[in-house]
Amino acid sequence: MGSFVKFENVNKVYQTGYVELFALKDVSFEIEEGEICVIVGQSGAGKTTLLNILGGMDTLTSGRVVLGDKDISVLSRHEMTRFRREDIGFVFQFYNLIPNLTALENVEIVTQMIKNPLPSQKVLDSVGLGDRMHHFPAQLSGGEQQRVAIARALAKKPKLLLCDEPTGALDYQTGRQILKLLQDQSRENGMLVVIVTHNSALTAMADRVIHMKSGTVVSVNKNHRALSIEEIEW
Amino acid sequence: MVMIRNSAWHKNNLREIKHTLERYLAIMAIIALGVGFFSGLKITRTAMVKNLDTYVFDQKMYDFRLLSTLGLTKEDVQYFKEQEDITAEGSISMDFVADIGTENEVVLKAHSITKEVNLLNIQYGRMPQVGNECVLDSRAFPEDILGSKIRIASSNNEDTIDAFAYEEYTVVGIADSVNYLNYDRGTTSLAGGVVHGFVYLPEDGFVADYYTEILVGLKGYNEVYSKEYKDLITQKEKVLKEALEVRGQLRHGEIVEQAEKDLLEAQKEYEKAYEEYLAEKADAEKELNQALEELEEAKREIKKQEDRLKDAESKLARGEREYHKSVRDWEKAFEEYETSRAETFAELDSQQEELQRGRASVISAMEGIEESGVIDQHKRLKETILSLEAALSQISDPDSEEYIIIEGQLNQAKSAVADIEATGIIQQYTELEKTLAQIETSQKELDRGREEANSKFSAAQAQLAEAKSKLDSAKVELEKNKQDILAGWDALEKGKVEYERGLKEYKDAKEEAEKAFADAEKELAEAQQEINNGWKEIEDIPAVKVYVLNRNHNVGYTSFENDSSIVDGIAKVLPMFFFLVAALVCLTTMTRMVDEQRTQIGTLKALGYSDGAIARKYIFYSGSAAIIGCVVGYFLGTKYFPIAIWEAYSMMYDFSSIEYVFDVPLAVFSLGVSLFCSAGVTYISCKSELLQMPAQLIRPKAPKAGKRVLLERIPVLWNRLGFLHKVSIRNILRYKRRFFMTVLGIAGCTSLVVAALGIGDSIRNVVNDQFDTIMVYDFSISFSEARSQEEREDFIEEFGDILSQCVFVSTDEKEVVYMDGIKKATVVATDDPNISKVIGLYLDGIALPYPSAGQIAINDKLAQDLGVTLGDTITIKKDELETVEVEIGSIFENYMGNYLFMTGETYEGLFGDEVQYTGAYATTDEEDLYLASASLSKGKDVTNVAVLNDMRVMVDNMMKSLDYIIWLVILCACTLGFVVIYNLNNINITERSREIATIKVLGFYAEETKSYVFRETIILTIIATLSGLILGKLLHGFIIDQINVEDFSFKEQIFASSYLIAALITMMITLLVNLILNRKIDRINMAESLKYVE
Repeated sequence: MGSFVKFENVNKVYQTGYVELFALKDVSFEIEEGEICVIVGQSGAGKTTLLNILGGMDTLTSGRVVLGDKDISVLSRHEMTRFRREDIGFVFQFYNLIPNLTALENVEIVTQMIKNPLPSQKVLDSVGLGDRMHHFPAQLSGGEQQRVAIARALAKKPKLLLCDEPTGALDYQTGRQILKLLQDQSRENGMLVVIVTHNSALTAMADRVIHMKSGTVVSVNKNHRALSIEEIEW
Repeated sequence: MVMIRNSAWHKNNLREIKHTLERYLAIMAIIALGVGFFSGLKITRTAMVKNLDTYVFDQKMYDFRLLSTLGLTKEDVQYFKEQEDITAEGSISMDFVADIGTENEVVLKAHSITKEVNLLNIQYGRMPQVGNECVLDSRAFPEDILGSKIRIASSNNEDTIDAFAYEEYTVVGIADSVNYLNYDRGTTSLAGGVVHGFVYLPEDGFVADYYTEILVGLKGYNEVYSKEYKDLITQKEKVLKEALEVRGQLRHGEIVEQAEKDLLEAQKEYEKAYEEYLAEKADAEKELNQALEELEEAKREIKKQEDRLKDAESKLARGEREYHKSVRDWEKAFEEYETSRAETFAELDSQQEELQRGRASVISAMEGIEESGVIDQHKRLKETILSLEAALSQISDPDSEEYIIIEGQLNQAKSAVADIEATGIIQQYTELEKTLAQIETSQKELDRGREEANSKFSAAQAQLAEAKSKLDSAKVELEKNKQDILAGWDALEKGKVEYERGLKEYKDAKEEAEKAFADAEKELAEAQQEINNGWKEIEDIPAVKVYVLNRNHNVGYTSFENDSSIVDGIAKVLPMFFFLVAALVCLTTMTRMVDEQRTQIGTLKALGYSDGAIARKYIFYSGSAAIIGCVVGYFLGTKYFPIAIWEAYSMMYDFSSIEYVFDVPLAVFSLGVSLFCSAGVTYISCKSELLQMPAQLIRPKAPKAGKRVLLERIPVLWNRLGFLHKVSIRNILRYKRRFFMTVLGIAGCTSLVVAALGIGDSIRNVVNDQFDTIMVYDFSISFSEARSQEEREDFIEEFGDILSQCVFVSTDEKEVVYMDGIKKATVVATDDPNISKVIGLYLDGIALPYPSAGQIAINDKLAQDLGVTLGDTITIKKDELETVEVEIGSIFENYMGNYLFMTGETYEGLFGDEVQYTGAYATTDEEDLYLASASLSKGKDVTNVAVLNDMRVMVDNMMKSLDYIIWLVILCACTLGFVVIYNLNNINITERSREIATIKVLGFYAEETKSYVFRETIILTIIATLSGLILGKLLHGFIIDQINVEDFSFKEQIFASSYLIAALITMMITLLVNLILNRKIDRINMAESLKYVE
């Protein structure tokens, strides 16, 4: 398996007055296809910045980011948007569903944008919401909302699924279910899943663990014995 | 509470403002707009009235005009002067035709200058100082007329000319008069019926025995149109009326007395004249009689002469006859004489011849003898014998020798003789000689006979000649007589001619004298009649009528109240609208702000800040914005609204420029309302939040549930919609408050624009309808004198090639009286059926017939103002004093001016005068109206040709002034629309930044994101615009209803283009807002927004 994600000496610098603040400093790593990668670090370690760059939501100051065969660090805004639209799935801490759309419609909003999506209802079935797809987000629990969010991400068959603290707003059990879902999806579809979290317990489920601290990558560990969620407790 | 007073708290609050400046400015702007609009419109009425109040006070406008049918004397003025609390001054006014050096003469109203009331406000020049100087109307005349002269035109009647002390007056000043507050200068009975302007002369400029009116001013200050003033004048009017009645009675008495005195004098004069007449008549008759006698004498003389001549003629004839007889007698005598003479001489001649013949034979016989010499011998012998005998006788001795010789000789001779004698010869010869002697005797006898005959004939001839000459002289005599007679005839003829002439002269003189006397008699009879009438008139002198008129009878004064009320009418409804929107804007904004800052509120609460302190933070926020907005809005509004609106009204009233008025109650009220709209609604919006516990507040607010909307129940429609549309629809319906606010704000904007443009349309409609449908004629022609039937026909014939229609009319300005006062109207009377071709009488698009006899047609506005309908009667002022009533036969649409149409018959019935066709309405097919008008003005007695197009242009210009208000409203509306739309969109974007960030992350392109956001705005704008169009129609109707301008009525109609423009303007504002907010959407940071729920 070749590496799908490649960071080469990536720097992200915020210029505040005369002070240069390094959000990311000389970050380099690779992630291979089909892997579950957990990026872990304390608040302010730069993991969200890294995720943003990875998801094409932010630009980098220097270095190179290659996703598959694409160097996203040189893409225009429009190309970046298309890249997000077609290749990336997002799962957020606060689900970010559109309140005025039903669960089904929240999925469809994505499937309508791309060429060969998975059928929305099928995806929702697969995340266990087949019977609640006509509910509005406000009528769903947090876990259910996050499932809708995951369904929304999966429906477009992304090459890369980015999850930002997917369990952050959920209770323990629900969080576990969500992580199980993510792990299952990755395993079943060979999808590259990147999870950003401050919870280092999750590193056990990952094929690759990247530790971050103060904007730098402390370590990149390949976990050859990734555990299933059921096996992990925290 | 103590804790609050720290600088960090204030800093936080100020920073809050700085960070949310847009929101702060929005509140400020909407409040400023509301306050500005409200206070601006409200203050306009106050400012206008105040303006008038100041002007009226400064110029000492009269409070009452006292009029009497008999005029007012100096004593009357003195009487009122002495009354308490008032100033009184007599004034003369008079309409006259003035020659101001231009082509057309104009009618001016002359007033005497008063010093204590109705002061003039000199614009240019100075007040008159001497009697022949004057001050002219500033509205009617430009500055450069100063120094020129106005003449009392010769076309004025004598009374008018006599009333002026001078023939011309030098213009020394141009002024406004408080008596004429607006453009209206009143009506007149003189040519044209319209007063062009006023002219003020010193009292010396008039020659008048009495004053036309007394102007009364109340002492002290009284606010115009105020209730106090109205009460005061009602009360005062009664007192004045009573006093004036008394004065009027006095005047009446005086006039009767004077009239009686005058009549008595006249009677005396008449009698004197009558006597004179009689004397003169007698004289003249005597003279004539004398002349007649002389003539008769002459006639007799002529007769005598004639007789004599005839006598002479007959004598002459007799003489002639006698003469002719005498001539004939003479001729006979002459003939007889000739005959007898011829006979006699012939006898004589034949005797002579016989004698001759006898003699000749004797002689020849004798000669034969003699030739033989015997005789000679004998003779000689005899002789010798004789001589011898003689010789013997002598010898005395017969025997002398000698004797014997002589004897011997003698005897010898005697023997010889005896021998010879012996032969017989001597005998024969002697015989012969005897015969001859006999012959000679016969000769002698014959000669004697001849002689006798000669003398006899000579005598006869002489006698004849004498007779002849006598005849000749008789003839001459006759001729002479004849000549004399002819000359006599000639003379006689001459005498006759002279006599005839004399006779004719006499007859003429007589006739003349008779005529003169008849005339004189007639005159005298007339004079007597007049005197008699005079007595009757004195009996008939009407009981005096007096009038006390207050300012409400002044057109300018009353219409100013109307006009200023229009603004007030508009100020009633529109500002409410603005305030409502302002309150909604504040509510939404502040609710949003409080929502956004839930966490902060929770934190502050947790930190121990009191609810009041936290609420004050927000109240301070909105309140400070409101106060600033209010102050800015108040000052801008109260400054510029009155100026702009006054500018519009300056067409009608231009007595001064408007002054700034600060109205404390209005300012306080505005502030109160703005604070309520801002701070009040802020308190309401944060109260619910503050009731919650801090813990709840710190947690994110549960998102509002998505809801199915009604539309989803119709799958056919719903399923066709894209998701994005679904979201938009759901969003719109989810935030109802915002929905209504947006709709209200935008609809407000649209409706204001519709209403404003609609007002313009209504006006333009009026102009178009007025000139295209109602006043179809091109020219209004005025004549100096009424046209007779013949003159009218002549005129139409003369200009037949120019004019397609020409209808002669009589036009008069009359006043219609009704409960609330008077309305002016133009009375048009004609019997020409073609009137319907130059004036269109319509109601609701249906043509109306010209009113029949005894009825009139009245325009709708006037009917409405008077509160009358078909079949009712209206009261028209016949003159200053009398009124007449007439029935309404039809009501027609008319927008400009008030008109009463009637037939000539109706007119005569009402006003008692024959219809004076002094005007004509005409149409032409000519391209160049002015060329046609130029030729028309050369027509006989044409004084003026008004081209209707001029009026149209004038009205167009006037209407432009209303455009000020229209554009002001549109500007405000646009500002309102902008603020509302901007604010809402801004809130919408801020509130939904997470959602927007999410869809950005999900891969929406920039354009898709924007349309996702703005779709709502656009849908809202469309809904709001549509409702705004409907609302605008209603608003327009309301405003038109409120606008009540004298002489104008408006049509409640809006052009489609105005709706379109209003809709476009709204859309443009929406687009502009979207354009501005594009950047804000761009700036939403995907990554940051995703992080936390705020």
